[in-house]
Amino acid sequence: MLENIASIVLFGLFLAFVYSLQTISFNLVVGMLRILNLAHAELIVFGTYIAYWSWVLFNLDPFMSLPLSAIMGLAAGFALYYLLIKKLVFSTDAALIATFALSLVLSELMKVLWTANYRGISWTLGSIRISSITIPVTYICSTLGSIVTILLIYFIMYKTYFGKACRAVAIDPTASAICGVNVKKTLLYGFVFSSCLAFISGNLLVVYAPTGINPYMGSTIIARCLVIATLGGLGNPWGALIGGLIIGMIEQIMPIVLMAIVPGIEPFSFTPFIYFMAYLLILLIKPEGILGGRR
Amino acid sequence: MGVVNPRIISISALYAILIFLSLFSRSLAELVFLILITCILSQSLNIIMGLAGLVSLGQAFFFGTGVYMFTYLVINEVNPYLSIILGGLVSAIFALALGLVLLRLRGVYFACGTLVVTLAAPYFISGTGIVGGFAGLNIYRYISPFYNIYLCLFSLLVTSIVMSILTIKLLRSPFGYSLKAIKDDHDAAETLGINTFRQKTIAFCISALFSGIAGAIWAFKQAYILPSIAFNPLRSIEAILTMLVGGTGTVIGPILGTIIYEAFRDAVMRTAPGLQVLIFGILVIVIVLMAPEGLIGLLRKRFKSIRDKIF
Repeated sequence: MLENIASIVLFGLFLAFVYSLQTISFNLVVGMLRILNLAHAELIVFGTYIAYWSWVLFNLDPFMSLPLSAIMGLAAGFALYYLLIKKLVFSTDAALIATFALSLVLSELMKVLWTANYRGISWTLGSIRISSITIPVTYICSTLGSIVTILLIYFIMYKTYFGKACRAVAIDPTASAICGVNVKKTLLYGFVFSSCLAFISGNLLVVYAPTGINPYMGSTIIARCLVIATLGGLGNPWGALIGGLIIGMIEQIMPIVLMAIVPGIEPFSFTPFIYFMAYLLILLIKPEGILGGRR
Repeated sequence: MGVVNPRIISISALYAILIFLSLFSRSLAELVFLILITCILSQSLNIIMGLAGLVSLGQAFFFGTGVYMFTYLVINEVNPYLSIILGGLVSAIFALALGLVLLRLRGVYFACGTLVVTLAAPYFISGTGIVGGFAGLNIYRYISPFYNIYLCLFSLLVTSIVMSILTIKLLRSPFGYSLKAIKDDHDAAETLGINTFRQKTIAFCISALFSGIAGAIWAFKQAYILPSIAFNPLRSIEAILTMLVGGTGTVIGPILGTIIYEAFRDAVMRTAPGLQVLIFGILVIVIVLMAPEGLIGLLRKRFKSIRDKIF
């Protein structure tokens, strides 16, 4: 029983960092550009597909394809920014509709390109046993990758000029323009950075979706991103870390609890519903989130 | 508003075209059915988004609650026509409960809340397994004694006309003016003594009521329900698109927008099947960027002299 709980908590922790990375990249755009990029999840799915195809076509494992994903993410970020996002900066309502439509367009594009089949790769590196808990090495790799990326984001945001400019623009665009920050460029690079991170997190996600890669998986991801972001504080990258931790745990623990308490329920289908309700509850009680918005 | 009002004439003309088309052939009747479903969703969105300025991505949720309430009642052998009305009412009750939470929020937070509710609903259905659960349910044997596509069309038409009349009345009523005030400046409206929360809740409930009715009639016609289709978020964006194409906050806008959109979609489906969502998404983006006031907005600019008479 104790080992059971330990393994649940451990897997929750693993998932938490993957979710956190997804949400941090989502939050960067919310904080800086003041738009909810509902197409963000589709960028993540693109990253997953890149990992999948480089495995299938070139036999590159998901870690070798990380640089490829990052470069594709940069390219996609530039293209999307100049085609669409540039015209939507700071316009909340129009941006919401347009990015929702963009998410439909991107997922349909993936369907047209790669069909709607469920795909997945079977990448194994063996597993580690600690007493009676078995942990696949690939999970550890993916989570370590997420943690390293999060630390890298922390370094960039707090130690480089670009990161400081990003934070300044997030707090007050006008004041940072007065202080000599090139706001337009910062917004562009901020969006590109976020898109690049989305691709990387998608690439790392491939490990956790051994059979589940399909063009429409974005809708679950974006909903989870919204919940985590709101939980921690919309636009606050570090809130995402706490939110990710909570949601990762809920996702692992809830099915077990549900199975014990409510008979005749499909626990894995029902769990998303629980955290969506948690989202509504947070909105009601503390809409600014645990850490407060935008920093 | 005189006896021969150009606005009413143009709307009646559109409805007359729809009726004429539906009598022409069975396949056209199916098309008119789709037009009317989208039209009612668009009209109900028009009340909450066009008049009160709240971007809602939750029209699909109320549509789905209508579908599921209708199905639930019908399999418990309630009269289908009564179930349609009850389905709408239950959607309105859902809207009231949700409104108490979501309408305290502004802008994107509200929109995200409605979106998240839409995405959550199918998980609830498939998780608990009620009314067929994940695999859906065929309800034809419960409704076959009442089944008739022209009756469905007729009830949709009545709902749509009621919505048009309601919108005309709303545009010229204190309630409608207060919603417009909320749209233009929320804080100023509050300062002037408008109970913004109550007005928004009422508008939200009206909008949900008619979406739910549309959902119930849809379930009646399809006779087969599935959580992923009943709560398809595409429906919300469809409603937004048709409203934007026609023109926000107008009576004729949603009807005109829906007819143009469905005709276009039919054409795309014939020429390039499988690509309609792609094309349609690009269309939404282009319209949001290029013509945020819709076709009516463009026409208004062109023909200033007749603008007040027709639109």
